Amino acid sequence: MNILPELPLLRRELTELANRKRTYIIRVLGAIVILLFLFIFYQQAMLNRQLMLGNGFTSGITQYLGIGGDVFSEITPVLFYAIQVLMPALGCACITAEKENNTIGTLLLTRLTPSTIILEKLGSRLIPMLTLLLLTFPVLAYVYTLGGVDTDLLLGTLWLLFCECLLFASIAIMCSSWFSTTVSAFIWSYVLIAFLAALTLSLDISTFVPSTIWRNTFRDPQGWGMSRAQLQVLNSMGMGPGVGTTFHWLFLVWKSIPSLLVTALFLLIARLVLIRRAFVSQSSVLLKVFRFVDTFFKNLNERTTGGIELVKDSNPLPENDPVAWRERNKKSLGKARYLFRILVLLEVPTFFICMMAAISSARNYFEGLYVLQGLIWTLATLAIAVKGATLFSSERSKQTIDPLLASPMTSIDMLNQKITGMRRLIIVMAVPILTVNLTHALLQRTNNLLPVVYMLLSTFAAFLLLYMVAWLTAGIGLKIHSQTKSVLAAVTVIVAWIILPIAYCVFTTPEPMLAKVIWLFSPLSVVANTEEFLRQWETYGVNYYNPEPDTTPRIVWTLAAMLVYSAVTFLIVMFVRSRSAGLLNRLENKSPSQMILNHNAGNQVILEGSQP
Amino acid sequence: MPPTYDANTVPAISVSQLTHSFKTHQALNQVSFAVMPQTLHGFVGPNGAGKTTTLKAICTLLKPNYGEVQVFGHSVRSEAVAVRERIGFMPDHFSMYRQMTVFEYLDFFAAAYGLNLGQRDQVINDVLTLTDMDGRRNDLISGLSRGMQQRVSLARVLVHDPDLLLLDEPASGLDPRARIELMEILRELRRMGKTIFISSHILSELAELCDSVTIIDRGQVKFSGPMDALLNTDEAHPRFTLRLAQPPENAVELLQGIDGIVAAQVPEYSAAGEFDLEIDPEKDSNTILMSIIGLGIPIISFNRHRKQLNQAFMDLTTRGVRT
Repeated sequence: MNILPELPLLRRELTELANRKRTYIIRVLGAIVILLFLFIFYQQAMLNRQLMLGNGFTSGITQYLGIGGDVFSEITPVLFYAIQVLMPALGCACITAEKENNTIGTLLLTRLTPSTIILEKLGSRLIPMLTLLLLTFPVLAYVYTLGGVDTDLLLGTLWLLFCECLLFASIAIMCSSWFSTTVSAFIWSYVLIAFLAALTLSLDISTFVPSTIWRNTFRDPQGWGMSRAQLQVLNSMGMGPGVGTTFHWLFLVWKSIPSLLVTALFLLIARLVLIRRAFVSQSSVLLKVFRFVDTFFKNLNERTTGGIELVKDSNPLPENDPVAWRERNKKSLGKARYLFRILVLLEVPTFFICMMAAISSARNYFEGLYVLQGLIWTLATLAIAVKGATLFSSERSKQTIDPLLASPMTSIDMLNQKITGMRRLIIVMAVPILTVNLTHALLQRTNNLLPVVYMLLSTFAAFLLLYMVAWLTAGIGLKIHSQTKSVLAAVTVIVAWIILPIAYCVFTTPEPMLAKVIWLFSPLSVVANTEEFLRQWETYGVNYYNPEPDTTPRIVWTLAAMLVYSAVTFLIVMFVRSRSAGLLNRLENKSPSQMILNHNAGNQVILEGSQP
Repeated sequence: MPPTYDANTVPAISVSQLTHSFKTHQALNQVSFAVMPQTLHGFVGPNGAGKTTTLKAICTLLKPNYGEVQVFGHSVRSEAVAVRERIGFMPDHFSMYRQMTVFEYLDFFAAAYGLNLGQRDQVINDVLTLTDMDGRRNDLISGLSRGMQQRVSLARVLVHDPDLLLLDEPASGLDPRARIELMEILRELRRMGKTIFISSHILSELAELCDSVTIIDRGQVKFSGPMDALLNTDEAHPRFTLRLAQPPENAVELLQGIDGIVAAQVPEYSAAGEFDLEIDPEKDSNTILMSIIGLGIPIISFNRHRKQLNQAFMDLTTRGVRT
């Protein structure tokens, strides 16, 4: 008798996973990245302990007392971050892939119940994540031997890591069950996670997210910014506030029940919508929302004014730029009316926050605006990256590209028109960025041209970077045929490009001049240098300059960054344009023959010319 | 009736030694054939035989490893734009811009083919009339049936008035009525002087429709030439099928007694009154028919025995799945 259930779907998923070469590549790369971070944080923890004890607390053999606890508290967040970043990406395709391949119907016709499908899909995504985490366990075992990590801490952490995997996988599976495409499920998984994080932080609720439970219990139990192990060291020396309540690990299991309930809720929603949304059309959700809003306002207008339209809705036909026309008129992120709504949605809160900052700040700058600026930049970059990466890959996945490629339009022309179609989106995304920049400029209560120069620089920076992102991601979308993979690759490339030079500077602490040069390798340097340019003139209530301005005029660094990235953008544009025909798998003349607009006459000329 | 050609006629499609591999899988191996202008040419082969790869090479969407493809004398390698101006390609998959109306969709492609604004309205009206879709010009494509979407696809192929239509499985997934109507449109297009290169699995319809055919199997051409040459039997004695209204019991003996008939027999599975005749190749079939009429038995039909395309296809292609 077979005691274990069959689990055919789980078996199929794992077999498919095992048959893919990239499973092993990703696993090895993931392990390298996680182990690298573990090593860096291990070093950091050792350094911190030396610094802390070097300030005269103690010395000798006791200085390494419970060092394992320090290291543990530094490296465990890395594992939580890894889960938060990877789990949604791993899980978001689990049901949408079946929908995209038209296999969902076959699956639903089997004897597998919707609940079984959801649970087996959950298992199929949890196992790869857990195997990835398993690779780090030898490191954890080593840390355990260093002391400072008790069994409760270890078991409690392992349990919370498992709960974190469950929670994030359930969010991804719910999105996968709801949405029709992997790209939508991918984007909305992260949006939901951001929403959950914002809710947890703003309402100070820790019990819904396992990583927050862990942080409040072990990382910083007293709110001193010190781990439990560090507090234990201070406590052993008769200092510090105590280590807080010592928990049995089973207590953590009890404490994680709300998080498990949230997980169950997400899985229940996934199960409920699985059949209902199994055959939903692949049209854009945003487009549907916009159309719904259109109908609502049209009906409202009919009822209230009898249908008076001040500006008639025009529906132009393409002139000589059909591809750009389609991007502008047939896409949710292209149509002027829809983009205006997005602009209002972004601009109203931005303007409100900027206005509040201008009113409330007594100084000539406001720190909170930098957080807002970061958020808007992230959103703008993401929106343009996703749009850019799917310019061609979406046509490929919907198989609409072949007739277009068989037309006499050149590949460069198609690419140019696609990017032209993104121009409105770039402008809409740049407006809130420039609103924050304008607030920064207005807060400078000076009579000179400084704010004007700053505004010119920041306007140039905004359009330069957004334009660069558009071309870069369009190039990635040309190369990678799958929508999901192109979006993932585009986001990864941008994040890595931004973070790697900064991480290098943080971990190697080079000379200040060298650090500035290394900073130039990150596109963030364009924005940061522009902001630094304004910040060096900051005043403290009275109108005199910062007493310690940088010896090197920062305008030089700002201009250098802009020059570098103008050149980089130019190179990206040239590279993508030159490779476009090859990436589209299309033969193209070395020198395209003259296009003949009068097609009948043109055909005759060509035919006659070709006759021997 | 296909037109006649002289030696100087440039073929609509000329494929020579076309060879292409995808990694280790050889999709095409020394494929050569030609399609003459203003003919309807069938392109037949089992799944995975290399039909779509050949079509993609012809329509400039694939750079072959080796070989030459010319369309109306233009090389796809060096004159891709000139080739694209002469062809209309309809891929095998069924995907269109679903959020556009029929008119917008056709206008989009008319613009992509460089037709100026003044020409487009008239051209689109013409192709909509030809495909019998003029009543649905303002309908969203997502709301059309599969058959109608296929008509719109065909209309799209015609907007720039190409000389050569490359149709990859145009009838797949269509109901019998839509399929018959599509074939009618293709006949009409041939009458209009278009060259049509059609890849299809529906052999019975191709046999009726096509002037010439190419059969490809496992990346190699097995036959290329006029349909008649493929379907006519090549036995030593031409075979005819005779149907008599009320045959006497000794009909076989009577028939065998006629000069020029080598053998006469009743086929194993046949309708009543049907006979298979093998005749002397030196003799005229009309004379033999006159002799049969002379027997005084009412004749229903007297036909040259032709292979079915299905049978020719099965004879030429290899059993089993390509590995």
